[in-house]
Amino acid sequence: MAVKKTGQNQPHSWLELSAINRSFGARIHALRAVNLRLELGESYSIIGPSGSGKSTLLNIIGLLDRPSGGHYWLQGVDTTQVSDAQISRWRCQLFGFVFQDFHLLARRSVIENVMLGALYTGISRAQRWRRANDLIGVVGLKGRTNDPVGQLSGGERQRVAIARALINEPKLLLCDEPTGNLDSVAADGITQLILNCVSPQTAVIIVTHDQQLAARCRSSWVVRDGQVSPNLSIMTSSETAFTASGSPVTPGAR
Amino acid sequence: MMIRHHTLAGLPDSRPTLPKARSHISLGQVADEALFTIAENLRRAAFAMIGVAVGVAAILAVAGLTASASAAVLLGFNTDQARRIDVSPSSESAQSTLILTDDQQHSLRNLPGVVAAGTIDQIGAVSISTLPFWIDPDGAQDTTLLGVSSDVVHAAGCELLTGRWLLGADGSHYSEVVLGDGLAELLGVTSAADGRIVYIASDPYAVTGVVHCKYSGINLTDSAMILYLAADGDRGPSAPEHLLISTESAWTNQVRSAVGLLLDPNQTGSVQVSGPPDYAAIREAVAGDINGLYLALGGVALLVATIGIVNTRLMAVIERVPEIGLRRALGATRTAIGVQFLLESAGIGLVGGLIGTAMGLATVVLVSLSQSWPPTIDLRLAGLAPLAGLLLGSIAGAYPAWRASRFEPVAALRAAG
Repeated sequence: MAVKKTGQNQPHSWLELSAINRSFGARIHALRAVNLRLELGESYSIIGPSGSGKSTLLNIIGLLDRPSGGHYWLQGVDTTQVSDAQISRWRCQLFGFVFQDFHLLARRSVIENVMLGALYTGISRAQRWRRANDLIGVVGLKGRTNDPVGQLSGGERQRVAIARALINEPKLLLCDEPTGNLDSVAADGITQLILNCVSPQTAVIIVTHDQQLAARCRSSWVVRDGQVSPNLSIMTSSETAFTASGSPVTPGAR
Repeated sequence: MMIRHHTLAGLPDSRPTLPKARSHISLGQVADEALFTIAENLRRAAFAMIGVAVGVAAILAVAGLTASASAAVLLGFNTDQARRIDVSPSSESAQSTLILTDDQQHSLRNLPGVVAAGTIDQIGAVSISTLPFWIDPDGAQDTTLLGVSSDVVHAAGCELLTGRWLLGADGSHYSEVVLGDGLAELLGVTSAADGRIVYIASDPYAVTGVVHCKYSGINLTDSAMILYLAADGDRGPSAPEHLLISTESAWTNQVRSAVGLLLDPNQTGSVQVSGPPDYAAIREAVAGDINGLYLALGGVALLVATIGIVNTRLMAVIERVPEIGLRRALGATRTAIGVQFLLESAGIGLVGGLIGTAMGLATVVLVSLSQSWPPTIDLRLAGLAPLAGLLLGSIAGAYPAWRASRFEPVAALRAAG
């Protein structure tokens, strides 16, 4: 495995981006010199206007996309030096994804969609079924187990997607506008469900342009023109904890 | 909180090492997923399957039908012609060669493998009628009068439809005639009841029988046959044109060379001995025809099937780009995606091959039965046909599978928007 352990400068965060750039062609610079740190046990929001680069940032963090420059340390391993196959396996074992438009397989039932989440771990079909069945109960869809997902409401579909994201017990749950397609009642339920996933061993990142939703996370990053800064609007005036290394702002206890 | 409980990795160590790459999806699980996906997208898969099925069925049907037809042809040779030797003088001046001496006749009959030998002399064109010419001037038919030896009935492979054959040359049966079945029908003679008379060139003859003959060197079907006697100078030409020898099948070639020596001991080339059609040559000729047709038709069918499957598979890849993105996000490697798409194509090819085999075999059996051919199918070919479908599916699916494996997860996920 072509993993380079860092020497003396080994970072201490669970996940750390250092001077990350992401450009598309010569002219589009989606991310510029982004530094940030992430620890387990926290909830984070990424906010910013459309086209600011927040989804690109989430994709880089989730290993769906590779940076054009800089370093991405995951538990002390520089992921920019790792093969595509290894990256795929980390996606499977460490991350769970929740998308704005759910990304469910329309022809499959609720449980088949949830089971798909664990397909690439290599565990048996029976084990996948058991885990999926448990999680369907947890996200509140018991009784809909064998329904085709086409028959579900938007909120219910997002619950299926969350169950799918949780089936491998990920360390980090990455949500890209999870409530963007939902009405306010459904959105509130989904937000609660996602924030409930935070534990001392797990973290959640939510990309949103909804300030209220962002405010429910313990920490927040603002992305503007490809650059990341702390969210001053939800930071109390006395808090100036933001550092050049990109540590997120942590408002008072909620 | 329930979720908290469920999602906890439960490791007390705050800095666990990154997971090893070992635990990952197996080939069997990818195959399982591929099968599931085929079943899920059956309608789309059906078109590709039909393409393969038609290609495989066409090849099996062409191979099977040509084999059945040639088997039917060979079967026809087998029964009669294959055992007959036909001797004729090679020139006008050698006409008398076939007037056999007693010694020659004796030798011929005693050659091992000879079943029967008989001569045919084309006496000439005559008119024949059932009533005397002066009663019914319009009732006469044109026919050929043949002088035959009594053994011709066996040597020419004749079957008596009614009555009896001409009796031996004891002098009392000059005025008997046997009619070929075609001529008998023309004259309305259906049975050789006692006293049935026909007039040949105004002379009355008693019809003793009607025959159907397999020999095709001379038209016996539309001829009238009377006993030939070399001494009977009145009846025109005095030399037979054909000596037919029927043999036991294993001896045909030996008899053929012996007859040449017997009738033309000095090898002057006065007689022409033609044997049965050369079996091996016919088989090769027919096989050559099969190969040409087979390759052309089969090649076209395969090409069409391959293009069809490549096309439908490429469409499927494009349609499923968001799904590919999702699978990549869920941890599928490029290899896992490529292998799944390849296995889907292979599975479609295999199912198409099985359907095509069934269609091809059914075509061969049904057409052969309707043509009264013996259905002839190379079982090895039938066994290989489904595998050919599998191979075809894999080859045609290779490029689309490679394309599917090349999508970056982000780009593929975005395609859904």
